[in-house]
Amino acid sequence: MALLADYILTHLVYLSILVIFAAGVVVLYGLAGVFTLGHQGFMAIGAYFAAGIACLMPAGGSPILAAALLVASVIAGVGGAVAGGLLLTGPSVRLRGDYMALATLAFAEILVALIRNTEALGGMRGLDVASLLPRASGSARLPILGTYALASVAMAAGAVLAVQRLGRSRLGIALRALRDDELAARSMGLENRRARLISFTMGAGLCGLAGCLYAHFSGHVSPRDFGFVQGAMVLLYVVLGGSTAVGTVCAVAVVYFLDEGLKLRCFGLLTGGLGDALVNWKDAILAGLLIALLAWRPYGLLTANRLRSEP
Amino acid sequence: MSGALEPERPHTELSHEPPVLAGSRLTKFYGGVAALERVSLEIPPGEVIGVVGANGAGKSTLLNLLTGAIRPDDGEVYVGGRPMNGQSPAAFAHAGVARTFQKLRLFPSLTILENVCVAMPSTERWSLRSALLRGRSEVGREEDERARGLALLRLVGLEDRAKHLIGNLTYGQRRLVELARALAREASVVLLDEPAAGMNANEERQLCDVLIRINQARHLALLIVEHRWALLRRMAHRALWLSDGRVVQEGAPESVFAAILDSAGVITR
Repeated sequence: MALLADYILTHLVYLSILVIFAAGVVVLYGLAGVFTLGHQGFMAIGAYFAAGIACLMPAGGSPILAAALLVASVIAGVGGAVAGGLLLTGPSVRLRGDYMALATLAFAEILVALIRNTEALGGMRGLDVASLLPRASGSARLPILGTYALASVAMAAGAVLAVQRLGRSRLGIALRALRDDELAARSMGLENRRARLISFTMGAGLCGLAGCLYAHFSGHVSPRDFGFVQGAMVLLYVVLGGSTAVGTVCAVAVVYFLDEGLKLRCFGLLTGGLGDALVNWKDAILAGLLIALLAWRPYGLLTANRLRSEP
Repeated sequence: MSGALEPERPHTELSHEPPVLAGSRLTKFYGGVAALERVSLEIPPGEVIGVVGANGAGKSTLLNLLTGAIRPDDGEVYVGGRPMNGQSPAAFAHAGVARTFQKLRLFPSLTILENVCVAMPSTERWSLRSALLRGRSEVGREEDERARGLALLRLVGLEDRAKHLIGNLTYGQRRLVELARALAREASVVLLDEPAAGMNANEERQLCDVLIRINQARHLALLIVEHRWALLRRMAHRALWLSDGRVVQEGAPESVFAAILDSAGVITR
């Protein structure tokens, strides 16, 4: 029972991190219409800044110092990711569609290559993140893990609510207008540069926050954690979720559940050869299911009625 | 609103103030072909100007130059006497120029009311902080914008469709939404690119009524690119005939239309 609770709480934390990451992509892709393939770069910045600040913790440092460094790491991680986002704001005003996707992808790939070739950042091996949080072990593991899960779920809920609120605000309406038809929106006085600045600030900031949480919870970061596939998967969640915050949460939960279910042989229901085949063919089955899902609901699992009602 | 399409030019008292929008010797080439060549135009406050000409005469190019959508190869655009060359369409909008498009360019993911409200000058004063915190003043601003948006939709007869999407409207109704959106800018001049295209007789009459009423009430200058002479005959104080990117004739609508018919070999009296 304790093992199951441990399993559920651990995955709840990772799921929450994924939701925060996806919420950032909803702002960039769903609201601002930036076709991004490089948001994993923002997450990497957040994670490595957090890991770097955590390294400042001396052995046997006081809990107060640990708390201060934790706060500093989150500020630095989010700030670093926002700075990365602002770097892309300029090109995003001039580039469209596929070209913007290539620019964001290049940004993330350059970043990952830099990390991979910088020994101070651990290179390919990655960095161990000094623990600023109480280590969860022994009998105290479950309560501590429960606290982490609660905190991360609260943060994920906050991120989703913030993105939803943004989408319904006058700013969100302006962002959607610029996404729908840039020339018409600009002819109505909406400034593209300012809108992009705001969307990159919030989108990259959320991705950076997800990176911080990931670094502190997993205890290790490496360039492999922020590859193209990881980024593409999150974009897929957003597309599957109809580019809305709540829809994306549903998509993350469904795909995460399917992935884990297949990995665990349908949660232990299938044994023997069939179970092994399921594990071996997991990725292919998941990809097939996703194609079927998108064919069934081309506008996403849970999208705004407005899009579906378009002729 | 008046019913019939009888000639009824708006009785706007034309002022002698400096033009709200002007183009001086505007020239635009596309791949070596002159789409517009040394065209000059002044739009004083409150005046309604009709632009006529065959397809490819340069009407839409003129309108795009006057709104900053494209930049002239030569010549200058002035808004309220201020040179605007090199400025963005948003800067033109801020300076008091609003427009509609020949090919409808509405925002399909927004409701009809949102399509109108998004153009209001107050919408530009957004920030991330106000969007996320949504304090009392922000809520008040939103309500005020909604009320003004509904009033504009009432003006074009679409108030009851405010929460619908653009996809649920007829083509003519979409044109009226685009007009309401342009009026929401509270601009000093509105440029309309074939506003009656695709409209039925009722919608065209409504369009005419709205334009006349707005022109008179707000002293709003209008530049209307239109193939339907009946509409221009009813509305325009002055007409401009463009052909092959050049101004052929400019003056009273009747004389310009007569010249066009003459050139086509139609005898006019």
